[in-house]
Amino acid sequence: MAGVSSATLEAWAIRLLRASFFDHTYANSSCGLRWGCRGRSAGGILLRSGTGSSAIADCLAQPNGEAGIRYGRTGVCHQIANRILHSAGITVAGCGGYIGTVAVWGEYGLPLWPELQACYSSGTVLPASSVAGGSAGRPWNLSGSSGVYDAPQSGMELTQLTEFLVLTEGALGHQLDEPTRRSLRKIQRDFLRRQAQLVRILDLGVVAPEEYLDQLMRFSKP
Amino acid sequence: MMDRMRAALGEERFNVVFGEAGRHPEGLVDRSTFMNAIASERAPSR
Repeated sequence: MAGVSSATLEAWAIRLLRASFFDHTYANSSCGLRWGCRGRSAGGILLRSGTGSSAIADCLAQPNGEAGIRYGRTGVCHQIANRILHSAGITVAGCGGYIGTVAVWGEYGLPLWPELQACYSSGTVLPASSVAGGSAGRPWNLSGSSGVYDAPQSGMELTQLTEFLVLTEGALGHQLDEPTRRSLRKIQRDFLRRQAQLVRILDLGVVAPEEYLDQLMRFSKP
Repeated sequence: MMDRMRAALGEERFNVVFGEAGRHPEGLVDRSTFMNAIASERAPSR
C-alpha cells in the first residue's frame, strides 16, 4: 500500500461531455497518488480539499481502486471517491447528480463497509471529521436540521435514508415539514427495496446486465 | 422514484435538490463503465 500519514486529499469533478448531468468524480493526494474511481483522474473542477492520510485512502481504495464498490450496483464514482476521501473528512458533495446517487446508494455506497475499520485499525490517524466535528465538506449549516452530524461521523453510523434527507434539506437551506419527510423516506425506501432485488437477480443471472440497467432507469425515471 | 419525489417536493424544490440530473436520471450509471465492470468481474482470474 502506498501513501503517507498526512497529506492533502482533493475531491475533483469532471463534467461529462456527453448529455449527462451526473459528473465523474475522482480523488488525488498531494503525495502524488491518484484514484480515478473507474474513470479519468485528471482535469475538471476542484470541489474541495482536506488533510488526511493518503495511506488510509489508498488502503480504502483497494482492491483495484474501486474501494469495494461494484459499479452501478452498490455505488458509482461518487461513492468510490467518498470512501477514498474519508480520512480527510470531505466528500464530492456538490458535483452534478450527487443527491441523486446518494438517494440510490448513500454517501459511501452499499452495503456496509468493513474495510473502513480495517484500514484505520492499523494506523493512529483519526478520521478528520471526528477531529474537526464532521462537516464532511458540506457548505451549509446543519445545526438544528437533523442532529445526525452532531455526533462524530463514522459514515457507518448514518443510514441511507437520513443521509438523503440531510442533503435535501441542506440544498433547500431549511428543514422540511414532517409529512414531506415521511413521504420522501417512503419513496426512497420503496426504491431501495426494488433496487436491492434487482441487484440480486442480476447476480443470480436472472437478468442480463443490459436489462438490469434498463430496469434501473425505469425505476428512477421521472 | 423521481416522479414521486417531484410530487412530494413540488416542482421548484425538486429542481433545487436534484437539478437537471433529476430530469435525466439515465446518466445515473455510465453504461460503458458498468459493462466494463461486469466484464472484469466475470473474467477468469489468472
